[in-house]
Amino acid sequence: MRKLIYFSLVIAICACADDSANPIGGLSGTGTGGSLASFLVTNNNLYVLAGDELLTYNLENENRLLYTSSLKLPSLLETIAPYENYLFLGSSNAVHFLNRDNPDQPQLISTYQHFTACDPVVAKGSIAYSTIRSTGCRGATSGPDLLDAIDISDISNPRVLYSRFVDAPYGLAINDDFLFVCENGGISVFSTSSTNEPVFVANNKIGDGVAYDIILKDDFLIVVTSEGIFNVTYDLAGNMQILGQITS
Amino acid sequence: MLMQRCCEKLRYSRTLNNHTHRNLADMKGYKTLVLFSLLAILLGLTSCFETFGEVTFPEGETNGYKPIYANSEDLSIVFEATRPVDNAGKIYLYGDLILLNERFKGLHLIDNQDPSNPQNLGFLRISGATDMAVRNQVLYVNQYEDLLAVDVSDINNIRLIAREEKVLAIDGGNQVPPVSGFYFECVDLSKGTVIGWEMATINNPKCFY
Repeated sequence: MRKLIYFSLVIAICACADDSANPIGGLSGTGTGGSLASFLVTNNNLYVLAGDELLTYNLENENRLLYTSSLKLPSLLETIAPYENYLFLGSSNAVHFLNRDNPDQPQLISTYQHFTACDPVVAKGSIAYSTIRSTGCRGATSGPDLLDAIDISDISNPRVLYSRFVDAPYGLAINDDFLFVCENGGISVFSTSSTNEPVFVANNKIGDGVAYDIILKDDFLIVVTSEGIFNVTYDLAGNMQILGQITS
Repeated sequence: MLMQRCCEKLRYSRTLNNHTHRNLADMKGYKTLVLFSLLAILLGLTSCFETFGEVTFPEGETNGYKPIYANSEDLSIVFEATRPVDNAGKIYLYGDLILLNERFKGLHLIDNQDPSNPQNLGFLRISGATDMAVRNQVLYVNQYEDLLAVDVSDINNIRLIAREEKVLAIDGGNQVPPVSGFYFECVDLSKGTVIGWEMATINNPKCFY
């Protein structure tokens, strides 16, 4: 009996050790990037931004990189985001909307032009939101920092609905409650319930660093700042609270 | 404004230089191009010195960007002990595992099953890494301008599935730092190709972007 207990203990310890040693071992499928990502995996494809080109690989053959196409666009590409059957590419002077009817070879549908700046994109319903940051962005002169709402109900003809000044914006995320924008060092919370105009609700500092990007996870946000990672909850007044963190 | 123009010239010269790498087969054309590139670089630099006359350069040590040259880095991928978050980059969520990029160094692996108590598990050293994605326990990540597919199903037995060399190279994209408004250590082409930039303490910088 005692031997059995020891044996069980050994097994239990080994199992624990294995779990921590193989953090990725038990997982499958694809993950989620932040809004500043320049890499994207979908079911069977890897999309990578390289300068002014979108490179597409097919991964079905034992996860190997089978190059299937490249699409050259007229500006330096910075961010890539999936939305329904589309890809949104943020670039140095425009947002490009692509379809992936053939996922091995995405095609350009339309382009929303702006001045030279950096600009991640998210969307909900038929509206895309993009932050346009001139502050500290390569190639940008002294343009304004903006949050744009773009009507994409006809994606072949994107139209700006609303444009508001923000301060040094980075990444952003959207869910049914709010639009979250890394801005002014912290996270600004906007209501998007009145369709055209994101309405400012609150700005929250996250620790002592500058907030760069957000990933939405169930009922909380994972925020990367210049200090590290923060798990953050929010209430319906837009006020945030730090749950846990990994810094320095 | 003048400085912007100067950097454009420098970018132009480096673009030509990049083309020389792509025309190795044609040696005659290569030599002509090299000469032409050198000439273009010299012209670019000359105009830089003129315009840089308007910038005040600090003496001694200061914060700024430092070029990373090819062949000077250890390219092996190793899972190591945790290290402090120093220069946080992009994030990726795979199940309850957070991958946090330490710019140009590798990935912090963070167990986020309990969001009130995330655990730093260790550091996946990948020099040059700035972005990543994961599918079926395969990590797709860049190492400077190379694109890698890495089997990470067993973190203690990491297996490189593929390395696509230089696919992320950008014509003329590396001759200035990624962010403007900083002093940087001027590029010395005799040290090799610039494959990236890192923030560092630099001495008596003579370049600014």
